[in-house]
Amino acid sequence: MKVNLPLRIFCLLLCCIGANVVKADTSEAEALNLLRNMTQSFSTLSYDGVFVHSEALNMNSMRIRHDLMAGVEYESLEDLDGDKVEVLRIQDNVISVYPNALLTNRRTPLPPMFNRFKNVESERLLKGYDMIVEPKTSRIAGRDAVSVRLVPRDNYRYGHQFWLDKDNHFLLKHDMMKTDGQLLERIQFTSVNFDPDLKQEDFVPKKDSYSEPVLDAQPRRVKNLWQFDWLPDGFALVWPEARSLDEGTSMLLLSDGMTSVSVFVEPTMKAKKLSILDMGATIAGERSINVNEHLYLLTMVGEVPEPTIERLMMAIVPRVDHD
Amino acid sequence: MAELNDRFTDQQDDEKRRAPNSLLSFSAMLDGEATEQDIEQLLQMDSAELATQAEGFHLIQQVMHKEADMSVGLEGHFMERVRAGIDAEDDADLNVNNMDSKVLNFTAPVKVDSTFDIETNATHAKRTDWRMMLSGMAVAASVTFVIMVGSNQLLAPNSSSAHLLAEVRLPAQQNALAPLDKLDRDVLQIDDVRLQHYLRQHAEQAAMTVGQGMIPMARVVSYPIKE
Repeated sequence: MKVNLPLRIFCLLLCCIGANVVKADTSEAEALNLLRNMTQSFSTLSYDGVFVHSEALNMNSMRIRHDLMAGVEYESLEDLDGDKVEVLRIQDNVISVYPNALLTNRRTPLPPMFNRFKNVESERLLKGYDMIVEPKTSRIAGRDAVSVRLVPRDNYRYGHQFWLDKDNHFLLKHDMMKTDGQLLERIQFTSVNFDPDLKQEDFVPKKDSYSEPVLDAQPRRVKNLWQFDWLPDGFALVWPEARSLDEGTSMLLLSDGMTSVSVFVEPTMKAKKLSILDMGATIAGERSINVNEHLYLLTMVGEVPEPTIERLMMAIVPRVDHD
Repeated sequence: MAELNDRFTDQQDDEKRRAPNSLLSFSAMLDGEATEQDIEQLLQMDSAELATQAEGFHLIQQVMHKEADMSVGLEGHFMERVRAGIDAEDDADLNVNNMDSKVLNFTAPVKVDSTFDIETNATHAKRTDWRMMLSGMAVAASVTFVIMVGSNQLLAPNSSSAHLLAEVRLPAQQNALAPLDKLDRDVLQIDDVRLQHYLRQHAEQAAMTVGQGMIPMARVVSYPIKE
């Protein structure tokens, strides 16, 4: 019996470790499943709700509406506090209405964009985050909610916590935090109706909500001439091609499945040293780079820490395989 | 002889009359009530004794308050520096008046550069230095006169200890404006139209990638709208 005692202890430890591994895997699988359901709920549910967006000292209340009518997806986001900015989406067309300024109509260059992102990028997410489903439920906007935490595995991204409706997994609250836990941005619903009476007229810009329409040039898909020497784990280019904006600007998009970094490259005549703009969760960086005696202005915008933007700006180089 | 005595007496009376006037002006300056005329009179009567007294008052003020901004420095005479400060201020006012006379209707937005900022603030600090000295002395004027009685050593001319005290100067103001590790980079300006365009593009694309519907576009409203 005495001989078997160490063996017993070893087996017990093995069982404990195994149980923890299984529990972690289960938690990750459950978290991914909840996130997947959350993503899909935005496009499958009908809803009309009001949420508060707070960032640093700014706070805005917004109204969001969504419905499927005759197989067409309608969505609108309306600023209730400030300048009455309204963003409309009808299937894959996004229309941003800025009162007394302009009406911008942009079509996504890689349809069907929204359909493409109705699933979560599980592999990328697992490379960047540990996922934890909180055991306790809480109450947000009068509804029971389950909580999922995404803890970053490195310092190149922020942490997230989602509170999802217990019944339909709709997002009720989202916190974005620094790695030390400091809150950067919060989105929280104060009320939401999942049985709204919406009509097509609710998704048409009001006649007096803008002064004159200005249509942006249709963005084009162009060959991507740039690549990165380094990317944080889980980050990858979302589009294989670049997107050509007006005035010769190419846009690339990086994402780790949870957050994204936009990259803009354009020719310039003027050298510019590194500049950084900190807007709470969003960081913008700008600098010029010299490639074969040609100057390019590089601008990056993303919800990632400042060192990530800085390092990415040093890591971009011309692609070696382009013609 | 009597004539000589009369002349000597007149001279003494004249000095007595002048001294109280200068002290009155000086006191008025310390109390912050000096008129331009008082200051001009003081500057014209800048005798070595008066200047030494003024330097002494100022040093006492420094010892009492230990304020780096009020330090005198070793070079130059206190009253001369007050004169130089006033002259510089007059020149600056003249320039401002000249600008006003040109009626500038529009000022183009100037990109804030950290180096430029420091230089501007340093210039501003130089311009306001003499005022700070005067106002600082004025605030504690009554206290200073009381302290003078028992502080003759500090008031003694060419006091080495006094000069050492005057040497203290901390560059704290500049450091507070721009930490050294930030000097080698610019700060991007939110009113840059091109940047605003990119911020909106980013918010729109983020809405398509993070699986939260259009909620990420809530950030768009916090960006300024300028085209």
